[in-house]
Amino acid sequence: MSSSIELINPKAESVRRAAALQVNTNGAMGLANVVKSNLGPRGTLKMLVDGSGQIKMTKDGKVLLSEMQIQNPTAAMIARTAVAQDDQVGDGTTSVVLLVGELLKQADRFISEGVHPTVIGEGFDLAKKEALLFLDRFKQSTSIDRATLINVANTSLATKINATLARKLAADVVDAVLTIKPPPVAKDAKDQYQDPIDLHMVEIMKMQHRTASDTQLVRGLVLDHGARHPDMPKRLENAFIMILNVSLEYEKTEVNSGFFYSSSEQREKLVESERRFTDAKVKKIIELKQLVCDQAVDSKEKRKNFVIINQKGIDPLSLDMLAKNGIFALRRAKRRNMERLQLICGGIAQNSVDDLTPDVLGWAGLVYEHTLGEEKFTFIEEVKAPRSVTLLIKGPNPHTIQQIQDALRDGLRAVKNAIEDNCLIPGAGAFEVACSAYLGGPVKKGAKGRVKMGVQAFADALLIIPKTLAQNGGFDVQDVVVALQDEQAEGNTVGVDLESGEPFDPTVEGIWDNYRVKRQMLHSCSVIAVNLLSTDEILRAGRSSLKPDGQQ
Amino acid sequence: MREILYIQAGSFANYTGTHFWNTQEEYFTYDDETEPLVNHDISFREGIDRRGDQTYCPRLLVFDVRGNFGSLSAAKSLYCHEDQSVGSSSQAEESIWDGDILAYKQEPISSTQPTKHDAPRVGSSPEARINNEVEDTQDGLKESLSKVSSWSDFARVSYIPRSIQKIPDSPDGDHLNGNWGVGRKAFLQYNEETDLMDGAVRRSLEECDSPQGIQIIEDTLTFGSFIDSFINSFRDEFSRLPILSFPLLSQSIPTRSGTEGLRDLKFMINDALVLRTYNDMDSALAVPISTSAAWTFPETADKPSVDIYSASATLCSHLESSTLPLRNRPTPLSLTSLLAQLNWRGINRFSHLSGAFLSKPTERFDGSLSVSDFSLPANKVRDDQYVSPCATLFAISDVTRGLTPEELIAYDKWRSQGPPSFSSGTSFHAPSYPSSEGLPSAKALTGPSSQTPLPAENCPGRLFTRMTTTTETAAMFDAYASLIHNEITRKPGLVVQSSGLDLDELKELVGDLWTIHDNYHDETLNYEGLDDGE
Repeated sequence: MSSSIELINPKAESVRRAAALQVNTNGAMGLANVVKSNLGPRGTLKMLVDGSGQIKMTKDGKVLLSEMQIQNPTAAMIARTAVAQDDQVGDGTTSVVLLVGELLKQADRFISEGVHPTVIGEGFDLAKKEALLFLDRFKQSTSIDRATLINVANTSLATKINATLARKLAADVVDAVLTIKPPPVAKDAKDQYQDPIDLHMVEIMKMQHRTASDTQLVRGLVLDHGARHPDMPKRLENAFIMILNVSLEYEKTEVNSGFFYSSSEQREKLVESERRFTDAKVKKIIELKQLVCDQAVDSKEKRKNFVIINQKGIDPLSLDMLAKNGIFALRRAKRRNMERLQLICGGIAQNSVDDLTPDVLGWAGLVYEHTLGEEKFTFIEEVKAPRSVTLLIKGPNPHTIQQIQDALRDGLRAVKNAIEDNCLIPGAGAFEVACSAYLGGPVKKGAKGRVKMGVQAFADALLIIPKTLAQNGGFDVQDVVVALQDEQAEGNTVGVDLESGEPFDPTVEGIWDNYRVKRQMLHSCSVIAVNLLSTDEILRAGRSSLKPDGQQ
Repeated sequence: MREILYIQAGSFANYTGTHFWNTQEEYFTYDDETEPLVNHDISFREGIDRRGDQTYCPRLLVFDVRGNFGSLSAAKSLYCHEDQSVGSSSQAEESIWDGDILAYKQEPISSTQPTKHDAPRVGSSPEARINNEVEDTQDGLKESLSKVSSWSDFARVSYIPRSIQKIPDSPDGDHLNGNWGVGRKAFLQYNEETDLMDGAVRRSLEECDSPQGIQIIEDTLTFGSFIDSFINSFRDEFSRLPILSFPLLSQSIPTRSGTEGLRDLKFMINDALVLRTYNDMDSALAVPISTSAAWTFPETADKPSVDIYSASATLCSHLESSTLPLRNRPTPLSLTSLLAQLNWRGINRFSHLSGAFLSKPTERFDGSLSVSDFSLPANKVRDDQYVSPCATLFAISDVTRGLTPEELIAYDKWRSQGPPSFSSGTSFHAPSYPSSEGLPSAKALTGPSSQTPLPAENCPGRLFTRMTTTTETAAMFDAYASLIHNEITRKPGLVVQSSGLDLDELKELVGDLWTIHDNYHDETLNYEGLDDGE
């Protein structure tokens, strides 16, 4: 039977009914097979080498999906959902892809026996609703203390980097998030809105230097540039920090460019007066420096110093004036560093030099420059009560640095999620095993008629997560699943121990997943699976084929 | 020092840009006596690579889609060559992953590099370089051309890793081509992921003592909206740095007779949107360049071949020459001054690039010299003769390369007889354009008859180039405005659908295009007189 669209457009291609479903199922399962080996701490790291020899090491489902040029439209659609999952909650990309593939595979079993896809779809909807309710009961609102958070971070990091490094970085990641966490809202405050954690306040700085194990948390700020004047001090203690957004550059404006002057003297004069204007700004800063750093020659006090971090430019003449006065100045700092600096050193960023007073200045115990080849880094450390920090990544080559950066990003988001959710889900497949049993038991019993089959398919599909974990760990998939289900029937919380392949209690080992990641995962995988199931016809009649002949 | 930051985006732009940097490389002198023609510090940055060697690399950001980079990658740039070999990465060093590693390797793209010389820092001897060149020209340029599959194949300068900005191919197959929204999204995403503005752009300017502006070459079709977003973002931070841009327009040229299809219309709207942004921007000047197929050439001239390598070489020779005063030693013209000179009325942010090669005896400064126009797709936009006798030139900036003293006199005479101009134009005379690769006249030399050394006046690098601000520009905006206006009146639904803009936005665009058009009307001049500028 030919499709009706072919009557009006002979170039259109179409597949219908069972064939259409088959196309979708194959696409979904194909994609799942690609990312399957990523899942869990025992998954396989992928090394991607492009045509120009550039290396990328990744285990991140999102990175892998965006690197692959996916042609299959079904796969592309699933990939997009999965990437959206990552954008929203920062994790679970691989799980979503696996679940969609498995949902369609389980559905296919029933459909081949004559069940209509929409019935399965109904079952999926019911199962999703129940699974979300179950998730709320399953979550554990244990105290989210530092030790628990380190476990959360470690669970995330261990899937991307080796255990030793993950342990070390987990503590750094947690301390970073705890430092930037906004203070809790007072109980009696009128407005009970809690500010979200802004992960931008954790600066991530990369240094191609030494080894990955030198990666560390700096309670302060690391900037990727140094002073541009040879006479400026390289190391300062007890320093006032001035955060500035004022151009100390002699700038010519469009209107008074050289073209309009009748004589060169007139031009010189104008240039000079503009230069004086810039100099005056610098002098005001120097005056402030002299005011706050004024000390008697024989003073017992520690020597006071002065540092300027400017978002705008500082030209050589201005730098020279500052250097002569012993001031260390950085130009063109990152925009976001203005905000971070205020949180680290205190002080208030200044947009003009007109009303400078000592109380706009911040303070740091130590400011020093580190040179690495042609690159310079400035460290601002030993600050009083920082509310922003830097994670300094080190590694011998760009792809190692990138790999650590990807891992840290996921770790930071896992910790943020845990704090904001104020609850956790036991990991290592525990939720999926428990939820599967719940759906297959009471929920299926309560469902009416054929819808039961959809619920059963959903329950079976959830097991793909522990199955894949076991498979990647090198264990017999069936043995592991049976053991898990037995243990679960006893009423315990069980996950797969990837060291032994035996069931264990993930909460004891500190394997935690994020509540919102699971929630989002259940949502997106069922929505997309139902969409693909209800597809009755696939048409390919793009604009290119609708064009008259001869046009490109 | 007045540094310039260069931006290249898109394939044709990068071909042109690669010629540009190869030419800059030619200006380097390797002995103590010869003073270089240009001040290299304006366009190049000095650095130290990981082995402690001194390097000179362009102050440049190269944008293109990943596939167009060919064999070029940040890993192969000057700074990483040692620790980046594929084999050693997983075993030799400390690995931060204990589990299995699965490698997916694409077929390596071999770099053909038909005309590769050593990187400038190595500084091969002048003789070797000349020999090389002679071989290149004589061993059949054609053959080597067929091997150029990417602009990176003939690049002779080395880049720092930061210069290389590979835009990932969109995961869902959306093409950048003329899709305004897609380009914007691509920029936002790229900026988010790679921290472009706060990273590469900021650091490139941080190392400048007093940056004088940026120079952009962009393919509007593929990177128009990307660069548009870039400039807007750039302006947030650097509100007054001058921008000189060469937008290379798409092959869809507005004609009186209407468009050939919705796709053409979409591309034209895209071009118009790019141009409009430059008009709205302070301290910016755009020199639109039409597609190479639409360049007008005088009948006497050799038609340059249309392949991208030669076309970009032709364009580059004029583009490089016209901006040469900016890099001149010892007293460079500032970008601000150049912009102020061309846009002294303050409302004309578009200029024209035109020029001629002077390699044949027939091409001399007399009445017969006909100049090619790269900016106005003349015979397509209008039916009449492209140099309309009534065109008014508001501003002229001429550059000649390699003229003899007699010719200079002829030039001055020719100039004084030329079309009327309202402002004092400038002329700048410099030695011949140093590179002949891909230039039309260089091709003629490759025949067997050219074994004997050529007389100096037949050197392919002798040329004349001119940037003007002229009433001719109005015709181009007239064409864009009336065409888009007609289309949205006739079939608003389809236009809205294909361009992705809503009807009000399109109407506003048409209005803005007419405003630009009106700004080129020279009646105001006649009434208000010339003395205002003084």
